[in-house]
Amino acid sequence: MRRGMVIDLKRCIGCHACTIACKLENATPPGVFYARVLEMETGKYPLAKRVFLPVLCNHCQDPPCLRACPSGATTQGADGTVLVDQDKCIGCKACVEACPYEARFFLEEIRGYYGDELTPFEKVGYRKHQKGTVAKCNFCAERTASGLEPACVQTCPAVARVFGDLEDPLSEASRLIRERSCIQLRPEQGTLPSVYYIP
Amino acid sequence: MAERWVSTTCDRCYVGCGIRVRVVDEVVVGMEGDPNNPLNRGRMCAKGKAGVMAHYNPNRLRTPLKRTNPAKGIGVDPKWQEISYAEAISTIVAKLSQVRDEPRKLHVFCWGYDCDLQALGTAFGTPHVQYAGNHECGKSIHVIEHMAGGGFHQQVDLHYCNYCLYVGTQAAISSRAAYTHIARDLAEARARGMRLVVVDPVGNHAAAKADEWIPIRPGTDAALALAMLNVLLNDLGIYDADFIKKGTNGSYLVGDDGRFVRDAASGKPLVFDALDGAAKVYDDPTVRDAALEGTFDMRGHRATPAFALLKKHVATYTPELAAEITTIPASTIARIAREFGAAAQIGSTIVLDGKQYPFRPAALDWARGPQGHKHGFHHSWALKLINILMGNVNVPGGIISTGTMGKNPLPWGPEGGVDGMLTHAGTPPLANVRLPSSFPGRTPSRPKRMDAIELFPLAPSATAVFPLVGHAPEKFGLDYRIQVAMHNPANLILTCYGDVAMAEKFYGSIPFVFGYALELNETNEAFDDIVLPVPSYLERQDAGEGTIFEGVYAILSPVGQDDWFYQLRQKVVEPPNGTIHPYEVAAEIAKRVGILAEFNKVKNHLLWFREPYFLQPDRKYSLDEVHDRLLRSIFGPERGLEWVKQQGVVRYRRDAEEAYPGPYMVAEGMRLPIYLEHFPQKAEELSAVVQEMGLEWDFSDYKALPEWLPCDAFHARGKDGYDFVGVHYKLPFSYGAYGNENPWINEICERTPYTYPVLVNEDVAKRKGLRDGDQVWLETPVRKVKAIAKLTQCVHPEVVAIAGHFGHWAAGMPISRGKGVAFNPLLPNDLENIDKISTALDNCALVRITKVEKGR
Repeated sequence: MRRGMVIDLKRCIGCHACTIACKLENATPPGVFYARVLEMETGKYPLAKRVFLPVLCNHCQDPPCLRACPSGATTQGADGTVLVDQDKCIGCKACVEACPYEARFFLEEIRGYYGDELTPFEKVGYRKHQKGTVAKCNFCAERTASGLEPACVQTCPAVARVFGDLEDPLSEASRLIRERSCIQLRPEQGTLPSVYYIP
Repeated sequence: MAERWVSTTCDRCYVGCGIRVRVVDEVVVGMEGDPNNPLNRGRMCAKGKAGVMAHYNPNRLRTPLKRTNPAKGIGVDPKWQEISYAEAISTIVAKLSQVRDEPRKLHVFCWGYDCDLQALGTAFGTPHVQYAGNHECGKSIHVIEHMAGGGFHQQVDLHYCNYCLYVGTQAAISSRAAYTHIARDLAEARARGMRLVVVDPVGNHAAAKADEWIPIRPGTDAALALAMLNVLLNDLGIYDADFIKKGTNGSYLVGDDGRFVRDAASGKPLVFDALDGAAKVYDDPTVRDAALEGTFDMRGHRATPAFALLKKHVATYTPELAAEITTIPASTIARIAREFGAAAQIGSTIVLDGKQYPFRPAALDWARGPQGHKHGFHHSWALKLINILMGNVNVPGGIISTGTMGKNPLPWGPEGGVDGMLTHAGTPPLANVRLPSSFPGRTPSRPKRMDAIELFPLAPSATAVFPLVGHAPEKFGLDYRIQVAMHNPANLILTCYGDVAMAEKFYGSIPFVFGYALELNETNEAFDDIVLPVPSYLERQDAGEGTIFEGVYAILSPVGQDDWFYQLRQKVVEPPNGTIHPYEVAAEIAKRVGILAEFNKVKNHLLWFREPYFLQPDRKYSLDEVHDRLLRSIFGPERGLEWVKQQGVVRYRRDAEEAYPGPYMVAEGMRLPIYLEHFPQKAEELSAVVQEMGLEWDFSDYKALPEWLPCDAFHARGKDGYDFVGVHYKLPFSYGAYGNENPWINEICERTPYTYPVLVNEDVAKRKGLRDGDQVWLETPVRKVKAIAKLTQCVHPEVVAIAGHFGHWAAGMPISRGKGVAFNPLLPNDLENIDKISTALDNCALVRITKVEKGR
């Protein structure tokens, strides 16, 4: 099994529901976004338009972050997801440097969104974070372990995200990759991302 | 670890999705869309997912406050002092009692929708209960849907549509009721090949997803629509003649005086039966082919079918003329008209639930863009006429009027009568209010009300007029002033009335104001004498008071055959410090003011209470009792509060006839207008009233046929340094919600390049020496604010685009304060800038941009 995701850029409406669903699921502190949507524009008026690009950890098959990690904190699961064991992370940030996708976040400090006093939600949610370590998207491992989709996939109002087993030729994700000329981000890096995009 | 999931209704915007909330040890730790709710089908948007941060906002008001600073106004420190509920309610009761003999001196603002505040105001006896959101909220759309749709609002039938033309709307991408539902429908429609064309001054989210973005000069939509009609009717001859004959007044004969030629005996409008060569009343069963064209002699007087007049009228709007007005190339206008007409597949049919329906898979949708103008009605009406003439109203693939009719749990539907026309839109159960009629409309009279709605006989509400009259009532012949005001947690000063200085003149002149607050916003800070906290949406139970728009309420539900539904808002966790539900506050005030009987009676009327569950006049009920009685009234004696709680979501199948009421309305004699005969009639009546009052009045909008009429900015732009027109546009993560005071939402706003800055066309900006990121003064005739300029190719060169809904300054909103620009306060509010049909305020603000010099 290799978990992966296909994001349909034609369907994506740039609404940021994924960004916030991820915040709610993972209780990430300010400045930390396991999932986010980049906005840019292309073309000259009047043939110009805005472009939305949802990004997250690509769970590369050949992850440069894994190679860069000196402590053994970064591992690749049997399902291909790239994970960080925060108990082993020494906070050297080598992985942050190595990741071509800016998908890793060093938790220099873990602030509350309203200041020093954490909200009850943050008090509970922040238990999963350790200051001085690196955090990232794990494809919502807790959810997928119980058969649920990652939060960003589950909530997407435009149903632009498909999550599945890329090794299963019958999965919807595999079918889309076969049939829809999917692309990966920065293929020249040779990282073999497990996140694909329908352009 | 004690874990539970609670099924409830989101309130982070007016869509009202079904959600499941995860609570661990009494802390809210997660939320997901309820997959069993047919509205959002398990999905949630950014605003909804961020709701937990609003719920746990430490700046939320938790105790009642009173103002100790006798001074009021924007920028004045209220010097709040915490007080008890007992003191707060006693003060409110005392102030209300002072105007008990003259209830019209009470002003109530309850957009939101706060049924209990509305009931309290109505029970008190004031007509000044304002439930429309702002100066633009639904202004033209309701006028039009009530006479030319049959429901409350409009939505494209994305299930079947193949060609979707948006003019000034981002429905299903950034905005609109039923958002989480239609966002998916739109994505799926586009995936199956539906073409989306977006006409908008701003290259916004909708334009980004369109197959084609067509920039347009703001305030010129009618010129585009009329030129498209010209191409369709005169060049291509594409129109649904069969529907126009049977389902509209297009065949009604019009005399040279602009009025229908009527049968002398019955007074009914006449049509000319082309096969029999004779004039007959419109509903004569022997009419075989009502003529749409030609001129006929009626006892020496000339008579022409309304359709023929429209066809001739639009001939003056050539694509070339429209190109000059709109800046859209003539060839583009002609092309999209041709594409739209071809896609409508006039004559084609589809079978649904075993019955044949017209199939018109092309639809034009519009919203604030065309609506918010000095002549907003005509912009909107010209666009609606394209739909009507293609025969796509309320049929599969076309434009559907929302909530028009249904069969469960109680039947409702539109009504017709006068001249064979639609007269009343259908009103779903729970929203048990008869919607105002825009045909034949009301009879104008001298104003008694403070919004002078008597001078706008076709408008459902007159929001922008309130401060104009309210600050100087004597000018409108009124000899009283508003003395007491109460408002829900909305922010009426920032959003409601346009020009803030004008709004302040009115609202600041009210001696006593009591309001609710989630967090202390600009309205609370500047004007409230007493503020009460409200429980957050996770701390309250609502059975209809806060969710009127969706589900069984259906006024703004998704169109098509998705189930009708009902979902309760359940209390998930306890509110802080015993914060009291607004119902309990309103009922206690009603009791102590001595109007409990009236309060219960109004609630009986506003919501769908029935025997034997009517609230009795003399009893103060608990919230649970009220909800239990209401739910048994709707769902039956065995189905009260506990049953609904167990159900989670109550669903009813919607059949094709309910979903597509077009053929039903034709069969039942509810024609849609294409000729507004009652407009000149209203002008005549109104003219007598305003003359007597000595008011100057612009009657240019009171025309039976659509017209392009310019906003003042059309000619004034380019003078006095006002080189731009400001326009507003919506963002999917802030629209219709409590906005950017939520730190997760604010963080998105800060991290996206187009959100807080104002957009200026890059080439124009460079010619003016502006650089990306420059701080600028943004100045309209009524307001000057600082802004950051974002240079972009995605905006019309004559436009400064301002995203909503930002620009807070209240101390109680530390997250959002000083970020972005509030658009509505930039708009001049005077009679010159108000649409005389719909009361919409002109959104074409003249804007002057100058660079902020360093050190200033």
